[in-house]
Amino acid sequence: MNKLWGAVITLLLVFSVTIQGYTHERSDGGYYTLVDENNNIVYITGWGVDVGDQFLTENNKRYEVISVSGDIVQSKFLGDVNLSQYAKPNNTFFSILQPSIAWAEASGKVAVYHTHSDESYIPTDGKDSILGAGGIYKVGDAFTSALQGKGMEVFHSQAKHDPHDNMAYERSRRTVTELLKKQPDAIFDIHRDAAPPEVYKANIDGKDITKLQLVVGKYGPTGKQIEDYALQIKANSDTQHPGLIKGIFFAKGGDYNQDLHPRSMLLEVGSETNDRESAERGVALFADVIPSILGKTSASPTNAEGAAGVGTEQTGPSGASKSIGWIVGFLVVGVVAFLFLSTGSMKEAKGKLKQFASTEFANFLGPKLKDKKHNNKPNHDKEKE
Amino acid sequence: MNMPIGMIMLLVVGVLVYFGVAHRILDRMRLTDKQALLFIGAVIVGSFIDIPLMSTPVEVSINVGGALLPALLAIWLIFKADETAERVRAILAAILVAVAVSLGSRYLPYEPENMFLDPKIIYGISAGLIAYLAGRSRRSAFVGGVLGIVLSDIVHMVTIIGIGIPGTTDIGGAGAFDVVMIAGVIAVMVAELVGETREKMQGGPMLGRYRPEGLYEFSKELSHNNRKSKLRKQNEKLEGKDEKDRGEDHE
Repeated sequence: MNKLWGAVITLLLVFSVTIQGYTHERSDGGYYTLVDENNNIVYITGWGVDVGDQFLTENNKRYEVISVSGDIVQSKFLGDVNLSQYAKPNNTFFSILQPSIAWAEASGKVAVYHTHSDESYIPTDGKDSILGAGGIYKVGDAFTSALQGKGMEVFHSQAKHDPHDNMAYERSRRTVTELLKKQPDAIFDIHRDAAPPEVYKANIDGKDITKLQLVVGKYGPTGKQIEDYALQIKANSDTQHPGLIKGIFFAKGGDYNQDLHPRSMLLEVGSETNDRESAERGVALFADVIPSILGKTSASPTNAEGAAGVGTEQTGPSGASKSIGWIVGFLVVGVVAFLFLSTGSMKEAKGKLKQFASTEFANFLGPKLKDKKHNNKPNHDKEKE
Repeated sequence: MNMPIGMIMLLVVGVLVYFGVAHRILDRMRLTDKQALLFIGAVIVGSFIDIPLMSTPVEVSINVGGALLPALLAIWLIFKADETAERVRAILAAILVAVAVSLGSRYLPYEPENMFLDPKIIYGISAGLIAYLAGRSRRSAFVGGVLGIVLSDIVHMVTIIGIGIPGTTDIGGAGAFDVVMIAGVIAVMVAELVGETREKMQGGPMLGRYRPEGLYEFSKELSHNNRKSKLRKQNEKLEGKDEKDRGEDHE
């Protein structure tokens, strides 16, 4: 009986993983409405959501999806996020560790590219997808010229990554490394969302614009660092242009190449149902925020130490430190798991570690005399595969 | 680049851990420690070199560090395989991985909001599983991961030429951090995990001719492994020549 239940549970698990990949797709033009515990609407998105996804709304409340029924998504309020720590300097000690001071006078360098080269805006471009020549490149151009207007150097890649498929991020990864050779201070992957027009529509300073959504690859190796960076962007944007950032989506499906640069961000500028001109105006407003994020506004960095340095007493460890912790943690867990699996006992594991230490570092520190003798014995066992 | 110390440390730790793991993986690919280190150095330098292959109808180039060197290593591994069956299995694994990547890229979700696992990891794991099922070896897992992705790039090139859309195919263009290398590394880790788990559940490694000498590594100092050491002596007689050849690679 137990075996039967085991088989059923395994099958269900396998199915849930397979189905997961497909239930997300929305081709019916519908969208999801996220509601909180009191059934107030907190977020709207055109793309599928799944249990465990997290959002930061425009007014800095963080929610996690707990269930999805039809188009209504029940979410749990996780807490208010205090963005002030990301916007203002709060410790002078760590600013000593900031090499940025030396470079602050130089104008910043920003790289821009588009993973989904086909993304377009229906009202202006006629279609939501134009392979190889999406309207999204014009939005990138608007962002580029706005940044250049601030004296920044911008590298706007025209590389195409079509078709719009699951490998697109792996192809754009090659564009990112190409751009990295130009040593940018920040790198942006510009997209557009698919949601009803009113979700992104806004009027700021008398101009009709579309809002932006930031997307963080939650489980990338540097996920925590990128999360901090996103909060830092939103904090600065909220000060300069309140309402410009619609929210942050903490996506769990990958790293979106954000592992290649600690200041990488995926932007969704408006939706396919908005007109492209308003998206271009929105992204141009967003360009105002960039100099302050990169610490280029004055000779001293304005906002780097708590959020992006090693951390301070008040803010706790920074995202970068947390990411380092995760990477090292995974390494240790991996080594322990490997030793456990490949050896039969603690004694054998120790033997393996000892052998690793004595042979792997032999060239570097010089072999120990004892080991040398041991190694020269005929029929020795120290052979490695 | 203007970066605070936290970000710089994160980059340094990330790079060290990645290359450290890659080194452990590569020295299982018939390379000695020094050769594996040299290989990583060559991959890093090669990451900066792109060789253009064609310019019309689509631009195609190959990166030396990201694709050419790993592919050459994979092909060398196929040639150096002990048995023809092993060669066939490694090539089969590569073809199956290419099919899996091409199908997966078409049918798996592709929007950041929908994706449930990073494509690099999905294809690395599938390469590891496919290669383990096809070849039951780490080396064919590496071959499957590396050549599978390179082949899938060729499929992509043919696809965009077929649809007639502008595009580029820069095989291994992200150099050391390209999906080619990462899939190869993850594939070996998966093969290792699956293989070692299976062996552990069976109660120990299977011994015999053409089995790696690494299996007998600690047999002498461990009493419960005595039976292995007896088998080892038998094997030594059988593959005395092989042993000598490989012995030169180690200190």
